[in-house]
Amino acid sequence: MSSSTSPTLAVDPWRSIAALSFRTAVLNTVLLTAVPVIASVVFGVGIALLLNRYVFGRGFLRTLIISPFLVMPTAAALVWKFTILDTTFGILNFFLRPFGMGNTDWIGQHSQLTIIAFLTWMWTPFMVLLALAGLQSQGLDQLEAARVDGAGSWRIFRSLTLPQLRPYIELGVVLGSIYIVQAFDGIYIITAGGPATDTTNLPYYIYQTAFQAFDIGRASAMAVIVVIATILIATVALRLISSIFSEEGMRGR
Amino acid sequence: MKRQQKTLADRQAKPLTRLLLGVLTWIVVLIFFFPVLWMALTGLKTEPDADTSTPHFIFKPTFAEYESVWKGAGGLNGLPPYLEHSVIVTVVSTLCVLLLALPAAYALSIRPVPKWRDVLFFFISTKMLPVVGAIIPLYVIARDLHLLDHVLLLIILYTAINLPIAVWMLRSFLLEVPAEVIEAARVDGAGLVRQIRNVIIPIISPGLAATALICFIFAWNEFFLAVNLTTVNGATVPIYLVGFVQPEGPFLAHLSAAATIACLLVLLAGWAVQDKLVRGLSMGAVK
Repeated sequence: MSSSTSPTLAVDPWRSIAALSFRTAVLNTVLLTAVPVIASVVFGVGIALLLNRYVFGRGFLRTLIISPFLVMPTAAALVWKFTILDTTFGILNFFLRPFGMGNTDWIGQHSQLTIIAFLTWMWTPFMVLLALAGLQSQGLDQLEAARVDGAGSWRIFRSLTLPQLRPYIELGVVLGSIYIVQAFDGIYIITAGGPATDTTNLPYYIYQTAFQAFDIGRASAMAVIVVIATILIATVALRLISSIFSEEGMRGR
Repeated sequence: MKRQQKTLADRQAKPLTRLLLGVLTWIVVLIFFFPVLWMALTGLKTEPDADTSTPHFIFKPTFAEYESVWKGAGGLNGLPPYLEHSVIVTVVSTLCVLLLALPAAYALSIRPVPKWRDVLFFFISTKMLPVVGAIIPLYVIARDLHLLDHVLLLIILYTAINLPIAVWMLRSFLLEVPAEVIEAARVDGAGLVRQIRNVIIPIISPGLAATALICFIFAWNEFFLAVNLTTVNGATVPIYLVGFVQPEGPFLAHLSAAATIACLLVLLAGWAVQDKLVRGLSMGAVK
């Protein structure tokens, strides 16, 4: 980096933050947080709507769907990497072979998609639970009344269900962002930030800087920036939780 | 969970639509569950059955790989020391969290201290800072205190990490204790300790158990701090699993067996408290 041209050692870490790879890491972090959050909310609400209907084995399905969230991320990442996404031994390519995609190198060529899929898979259950709590706080009488008045399913979803779900979705987005922005396990194991820096997010970049390049000063400087950036998200989060809190808890279940 | 009544919408829907939606629900859920199922199945295979490009769906299940995970094989260490560290760290940190969180939650709900709102939000704000922002000072402090690679370090850190969640969660359960019950106990001459032990704890015990299990899950699965601050003497199960990142020879069954053992306890715990899970994860905001 620029340490040879820098006049004092103390200022150096702050200056080298301008380095291109830091910007890449920031952009990657935004991408690898925003897409999984949005995707898991969409999947989560969809699955919650399906599970909120009368369906055979509903309790059992609800038990199964929370599993991706419970398994140890390290273990899940290894299983994804070697038994599912592997080019030769992965079962995904086995399923895709009839469609002529059986030799796709998912981790090497579609690394960002891989990480996004992994994070979405892991966080969808959380969104399902939140959305289910929201759906079950909905008054059945209101729904029946709307239906008697001749409102169609889409109309009911848009004007009754969605407004009802809104605070729950907001909470999901905020909490999801706070947790997913810190994603480390999956990236460490599945792609190690690569290829090149394609999946290097800030936590992984700071880890590399501190514990592989042993540049503690630079890593600390980056960490300070991360903390400042997170305060912005956290302010929104706190305000949201505070508004829910003043209503003394959303009623669900 | 509340027993779902058939709504008018359900009754009105055509039987075919209902059937298709039911099938869709099953397919979607099973796709999400598949990696977990595949992990468990592959762990029961022998290596020749597991390392194939055309997966063997029918095979003779064997616990041989579980045994080799336990004993260690082919240059890989056995799991027991890591499992031991994980159990110590998780159990002790969870107990510490409960011991500290219960009085705190009491002082923020039943008999609120002045400015309790600020205290509550200070707790939660610590959860919002990324761990990566703290890793370097933590590393330096741990090194200076000679605590690097020590189970005690992880116990302290996991206690600190889970404390805010536990305080918020326990508070939301304590708020549901009827004030009259506590009042009645006080009138009967029960001191604070007896009120808590004989009146409050029995009422909130399901909540206490759920809180403990959620702290347990988070501590058990934690990887970032463990990988950066421990190597051998304090290394937990996730660190053991990382050894598989650069494999040699056929290993898929071995890996899956190890991963299954690592996940089993938490899966069972999570399934047991699934109704309370959302409450813990949303810091008690959603009941």
